[in-house]
Amino acid sequence: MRKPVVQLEDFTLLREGIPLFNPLSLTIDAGQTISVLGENGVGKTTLLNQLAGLRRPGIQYRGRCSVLASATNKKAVESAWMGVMLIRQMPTSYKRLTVLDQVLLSTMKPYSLWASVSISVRKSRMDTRQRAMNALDEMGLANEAATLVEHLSLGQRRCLALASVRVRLESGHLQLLMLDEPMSGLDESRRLIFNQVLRDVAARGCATMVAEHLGISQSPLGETAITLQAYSGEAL
Amino acid sequence: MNYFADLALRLALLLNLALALNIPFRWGGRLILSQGIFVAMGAYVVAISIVRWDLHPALAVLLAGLIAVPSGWLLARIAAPLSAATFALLTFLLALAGMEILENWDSLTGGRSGIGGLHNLFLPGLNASPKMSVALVLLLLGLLFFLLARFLFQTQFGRAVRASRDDATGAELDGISVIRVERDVFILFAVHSALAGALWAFALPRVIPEYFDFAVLSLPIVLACILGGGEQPRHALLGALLVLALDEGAQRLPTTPEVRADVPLLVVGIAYVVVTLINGDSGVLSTANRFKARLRRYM
Repeated sequence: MRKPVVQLEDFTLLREGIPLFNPLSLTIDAGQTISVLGENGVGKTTLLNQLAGLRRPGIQYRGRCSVLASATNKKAVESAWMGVMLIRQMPTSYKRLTVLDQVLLSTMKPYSLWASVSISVRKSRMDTRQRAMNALDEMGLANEAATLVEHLSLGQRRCLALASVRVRLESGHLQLLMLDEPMSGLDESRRLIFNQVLRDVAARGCATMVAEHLGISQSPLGETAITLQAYSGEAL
Repeated sequence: MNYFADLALRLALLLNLALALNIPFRWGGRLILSQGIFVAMGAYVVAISIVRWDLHPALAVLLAGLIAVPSGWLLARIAAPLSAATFALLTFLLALAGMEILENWDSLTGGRSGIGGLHNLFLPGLNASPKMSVALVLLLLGLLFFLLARFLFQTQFGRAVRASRDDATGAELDGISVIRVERDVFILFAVHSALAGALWAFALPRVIPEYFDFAVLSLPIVLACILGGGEQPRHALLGALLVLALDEGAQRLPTTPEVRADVPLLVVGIAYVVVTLINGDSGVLSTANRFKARLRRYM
């Protein structure tokens, strides 16, 4: 039997000893998409950061938590190599890199000096570049490949992040995708593309967690939705 | 002839050092103000190992490069928890401390009188003076590192260095170990600087501390990287050429002998202020492009 991708048991995050939300138990299996809902400040972003290995000073956790069958004490770099990907509310923008270069970083080729020099990296360069260009084309950013990321709008940066998802998926380096309020700043056509990417991610057996702040007329993106309730008890 | 040998030597040294600094500074966003100390390390290792231990010159140069590896690693460890500004300040203090060591550790460095007696370098089959020979070998070293930098710029490593500079948290989320990337960058910088220093030592009458002074060596290289503007290795070369040209021009200005030594740095400094006021840290190439665009609009 396959182990769940994310498993939380009586899990909560604490800021200076005070829980952010009521203890949560949750299992996310491969191919499942879950929406995490909640009011501003309830801890959605902090939860995703914690699962991706981003530690923030003053944040601790209680309860049990495992991501890809390993305890949640991995660093962000280790989590990324295990197949965890987090797209933050303000997506990663390497301002002085070109759009193509930023997507190429998602191919998860080795980043060390020695590996870069090795012939094996050079051999697969063209193939990698083609995959990155295909992903950009799909997101409507092929014409911007040589543009510096700093010149993109927020919506375009979100699409760039989706192109990175696509490349990570193709490279086989994606097991858990986490998105923090991904729909803000996207127009209708790009929302459709976004939904298509989410379906592809699920079809490839990757788990997805989407943190959302819903408007009145919207429905959650995930097939299952959980709501984080602000903690109302005493400090632990 | 001697003038051209001197000029070639200065050009070769400047090109090498600007290329070495370009990677940590322009790619990685880490300003290092103590490059002179790394150059001195190479020069002194060569001087000590040849004059005192009678080591073969080729092995001495190799040793200088090897000794630079742990120093680059140490620099990366120091840089890891520090912001770019704090790190730059720390390297300035390192430059001052390094000069104190060079000037006062007599038993190792020979103090202010330094170490002399290095063999002259002659290239087999070439009828070049020792100075010109060193300049040619330095230019060859510069060419190798230029090609390496050009290659690395378009690899995952080159992208990872620049990504770490722009968004360290995002880089970690993309699986880039910022600490490891910086380690490689600093080792590359230290080895290149030390090798350049090791070769330069063969052209010096004596290896003395004042050659490696912050204002004499490190500062012009920083200015070269800023004036060059962009991240590409060719920008560093352009900056180095510009600094040399300004320096040469400044030496021909009619001044009194007392202030002549300070004039070149003053001229380079003024050029830096002018370019920075016009175009931030985007350098002279970008400034020239802006002027060109403006001219086109008027014509």
